[in-house]
Amino acid sequence: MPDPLVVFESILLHGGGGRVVFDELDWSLPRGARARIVGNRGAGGSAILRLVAGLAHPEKGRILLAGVPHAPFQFDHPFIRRGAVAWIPEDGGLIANLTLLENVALPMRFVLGARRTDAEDRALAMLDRLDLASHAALRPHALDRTERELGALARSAVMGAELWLLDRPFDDLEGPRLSCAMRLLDEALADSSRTLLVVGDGPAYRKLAPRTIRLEAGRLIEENEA
Amino acid sequence: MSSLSGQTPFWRLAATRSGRGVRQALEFLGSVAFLARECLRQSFRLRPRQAGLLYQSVRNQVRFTAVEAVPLVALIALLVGGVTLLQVLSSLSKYRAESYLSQLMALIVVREIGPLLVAIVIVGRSGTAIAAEMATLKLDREVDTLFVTGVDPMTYLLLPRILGGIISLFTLLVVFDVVALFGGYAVASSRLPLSLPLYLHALEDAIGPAELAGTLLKSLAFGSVIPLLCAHAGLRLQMSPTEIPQAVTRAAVASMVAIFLLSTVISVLCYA
Repeated sequence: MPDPLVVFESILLHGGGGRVVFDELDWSLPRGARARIVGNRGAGGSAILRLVAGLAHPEKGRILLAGVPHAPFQFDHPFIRRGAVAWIPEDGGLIANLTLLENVALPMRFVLGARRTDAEDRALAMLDRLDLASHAALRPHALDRTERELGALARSAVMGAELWLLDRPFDDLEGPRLSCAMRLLDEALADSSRTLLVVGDGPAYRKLAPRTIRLEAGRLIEENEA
Repeated sequence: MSSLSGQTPFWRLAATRSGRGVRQALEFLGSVAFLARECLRQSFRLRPRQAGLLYQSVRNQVRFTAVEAVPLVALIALLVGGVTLLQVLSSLSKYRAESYLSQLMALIVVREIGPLLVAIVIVGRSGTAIAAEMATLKLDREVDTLFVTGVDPMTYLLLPRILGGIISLFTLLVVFDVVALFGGYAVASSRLPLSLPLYLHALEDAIGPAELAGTLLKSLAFGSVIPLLCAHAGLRLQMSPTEIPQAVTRAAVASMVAIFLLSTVISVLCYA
């Protein structure tokens, strides 16, 4: 049994309007797992990703990431500080005042301490693989949604992230772009220690993450147990 | 309902409201102090390569806050220097004490008016821009992205703005003082037989270590507090873009109050 990378202990979380999203939720995700969370929109899939990433904090209980609990409002988690998390929210989450190239290179420069030229060379090579090299000098507002999502994918791929948190990344992708993104993700997750937690439903997600977890009424239910 | 319909004594309502105000003020101060502490703490963890990355941001900040504001600050300095001198001159003339003109100008402009006006210009031009930018970054969840991808938002967003603020404020203050004092001389020399060497000599006597210390302290205090308060106002946003104008207003008001308070405290410390 591989050690758990993510552990939820008795989580209580309220959403907008005081609605209970999770109550006494216990759950864990082993290192190396490829899991997808399915459920209705608003059921709490994105909230789980935000809790794992340390962006949301439960009112009760605690969340351990690589054995270390998240501390609210502090940038102290060693796993996050070393850039081990790949974060791809629905709109890509690129920084608006940086170009696509600068966005992809930023974590390499800040976290890994790479030189500007080295980081940008690697970023450009990754963008080229996603057929986005010609867009490298554009800022996010000049890119369409799929390009922003692919840019976020490139940003995580160059970092060699250990935990991939993806929020419906393929909903807008199709054709060659989808194949390209799938291929890149497959390569990024080829190492058996890499972990994937993706929110989304559809053939592309099923192919990427065989383990299915259904989110219903604030509970996480393994699909084969449902 | 009964408590609102007049049955609650006036003193209790007043106490409740003032208590709420005190609590909100303390919450605000605590939250700003937390942001300042986190920023300071993370800045000690800065690695040399990260410093190189931040240098670009500081340079951009200084270009926008200081370099692009030089014409505006110079114009204000020239006008304020001229007007102040005319006022001072008319008062001194009544007592035949025109020889104190340089000293009074130096005291008024260098000690008080210069730092305050430069700080107000920076709040208006850059502080509000910082508040709006931070609010947008927060609402678009770009701060979240920075956090999760290992880029500390305090170090990446706040530290360059504070460093840029300090450098810009000091630079603009020097520009303001020089233009105001020489603009003042230009006005004075048209009304009085005042020689430039004499004027400079009197300024040299009037501006000493206390003025230098005061200028440095005010640059440090205003330059760090303005970006801090403005970033704080922007980062406190919760949900909606409609909150952005309110955040910008809050940032400007909080910065102004802080500037006047700090100015008083530093002036008392350095010159009293």
